[in-house]
Amino acid sequence: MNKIKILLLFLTASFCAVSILSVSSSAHTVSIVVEHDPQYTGWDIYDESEAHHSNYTTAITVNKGDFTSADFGNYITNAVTQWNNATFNGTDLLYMKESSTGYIKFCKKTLAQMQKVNKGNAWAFVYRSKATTDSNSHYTLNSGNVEIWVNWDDVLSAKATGCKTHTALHELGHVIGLVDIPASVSPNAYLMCNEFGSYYSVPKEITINDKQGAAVILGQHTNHSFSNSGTWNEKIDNTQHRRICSVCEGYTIQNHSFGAWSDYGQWLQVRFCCCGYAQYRDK
Amino acid sequence: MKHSLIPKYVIIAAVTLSITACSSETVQDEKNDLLGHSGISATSHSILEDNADPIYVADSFVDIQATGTPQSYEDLQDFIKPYESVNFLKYEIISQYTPEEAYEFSGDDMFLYGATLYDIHVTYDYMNSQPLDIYTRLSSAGTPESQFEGFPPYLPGEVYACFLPDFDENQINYEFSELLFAIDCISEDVQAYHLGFEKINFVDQTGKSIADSDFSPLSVITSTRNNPVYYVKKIQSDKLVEYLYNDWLSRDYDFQTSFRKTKEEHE
Repeated sequence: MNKIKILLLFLTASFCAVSILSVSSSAHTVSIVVEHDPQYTGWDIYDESEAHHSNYTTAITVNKGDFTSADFGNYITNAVTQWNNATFNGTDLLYMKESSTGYIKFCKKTLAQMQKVNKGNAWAFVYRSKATTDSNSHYTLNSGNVEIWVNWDDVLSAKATGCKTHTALHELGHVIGLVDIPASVSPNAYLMCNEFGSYYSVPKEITINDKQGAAVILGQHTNHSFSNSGTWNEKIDNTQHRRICSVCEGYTIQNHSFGAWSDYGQWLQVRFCCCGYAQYRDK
Repeated sequence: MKHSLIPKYVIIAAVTLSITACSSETVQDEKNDLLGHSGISATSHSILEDNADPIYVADSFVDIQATGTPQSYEDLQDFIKPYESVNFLKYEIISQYTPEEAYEFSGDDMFLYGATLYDIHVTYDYMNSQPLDIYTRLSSAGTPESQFEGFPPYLPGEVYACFLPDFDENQINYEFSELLFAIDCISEDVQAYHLGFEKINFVDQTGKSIADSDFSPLSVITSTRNNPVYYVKKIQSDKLVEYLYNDWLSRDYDFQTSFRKTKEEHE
C-alpha cells in the first residue's frame, strides 16, 4: 500500500491580509497529517516536496497560450470555469481565472517535442522541469512559469470531445497538486484517472473525490472530521484501524481502542473497538 | 504509399546476417574518435548481468504525469500514424555529451535540464533489410542527475533497436520510447528486450504474444546504481521484426527509405 504522509502546512494569521493574487511566502505554522492511498480515497496528492499550487485563496491564473477558441481554447475556458465554480463542503473550492499573463501556460507541442523530454507518448502533460517554486515547493506565479504541453495537431484534435474536455480539466488538476489515479484503482471513475486507453469513457467533470484531494492540498479543508461511528472507522488488522475523515475521506491509522470488557454468554467476555473489531477472552 | 515488398524469408535472413554484425562490426577507430565527450568507456558484458561498477547515482527521478498515454499496442498507433514514414533501426551507443557540450552543439537548452545527447552508430535498417553505416546523434529524455525510472542513461557499447521518427542523419534524432529494445549481442540467438511499457504487448493474429512466455521481468544495473534498467519482455529479434514489418505493412504505413544506404554504397 502506497501510504504517503502529506504534511499540510498553512499560513499564519497574516495570511488573511495578503492579497489573493500574491505569492504566499509566510512561514508554515500548522501541520496536519492525513494518509491518502487512492485505493481508499479516490484521490492522491503530491507531497510537500513536489511542486504544486499554494493555497485556495491565491488565484490560479491560466493563459491559453498557443491555443485559440478555434481549437483547444474553448476547452481550456471550460476547464477554468469548472474549476473556478467548483464548491466543496458548501464553500468555494478555489479561485481560478484566465489571464494573458497567467502563470500557467498551455503550449501546443509536436510528437517530437514531447518525446524528447518524456519517456513515452501522451496527449498532454504538465512540464514541470523548468518551473520555479518557492521554498515551500509552491509554484511561483510569474507569467508562463508552468507549461502544460498538449499534443493537439497530431493526436488530441482527432479525439472525441470528451477527451479534449478531460485533458484541459485533468492537467489543471495536476497544477493544483493532484496526482494521477492508476487504472488499478479505476480506469475512469475520477478526473485524475489517466490510464483509460482509447476505449474507455474518459471522465469529463471534477468528481467529489477530486475535489476532496484539492481541498486538502490547498488547505481549503483543514478541520478533519473523525467520529466514533463504525462507518468511518475501518479495521485493517488485529492491531490497527483506519480512522476516516467523513468530509475528505483522508484518514489516520491508529491502534485499536477498546471499550470495557462485558460478559458474552456464560464463558466469555467481549470488548469492541470503534471500528467494530471485537476481542474475546475467557471469563 | 510506397512499400518495401520484401519477402519474409529475406527479412529473417537479414536479421540473421545482422546477428553476426551485432557487436563485432563496429568501426573501432571511428568509434574511438567519437568516444570521450564524457570520458565513459565502452561496455562489453551481457546486458542481463549487473554492471559491478555503475558510474551514476541519480539525484532525482523525473515524474511527468502524462494524460492519454497508450495503454496497448493498438493505442500506440495514434502516435505512429502522424509520421510520414516508419523505420526500425539498430544502433550502438558511441559516446555521451556533457550537458554543456550538447547545448553548445545544438543551442537547445533542453540538454541542460531534460535530455541527454549521444553519438550513435546506426548499423541496420530492419524494415528494408539493409546494413547501414551512419554516424549520427540521438537525444534521449532524462539526464544523469534526473532520470526516468527504469531508463538509466546509456553506456557506450550498448546496442538498441528502436523506431527513430523522422530519422535524418544530419539532425539530432530521438527515440520512440515505447518501441525501444535492448539487443543482446552475446547470445547466439539474438534477443530483443523491451524496456518498460508493460502494457504494450505484441500479439499475433491468433491472439498469442510473440514474447517469450518463460521470461520474467528483470531489473539490471547498467549505468546507474539506484536506477536499474527494467526489461519487461524478451522477444526473438527476428520474430519482432517480422511482427512490426507485417503489422505496419497491413496498416499501410510507409517505410522510410531515405537512408544513406549501405556501407558499400557509401564508400
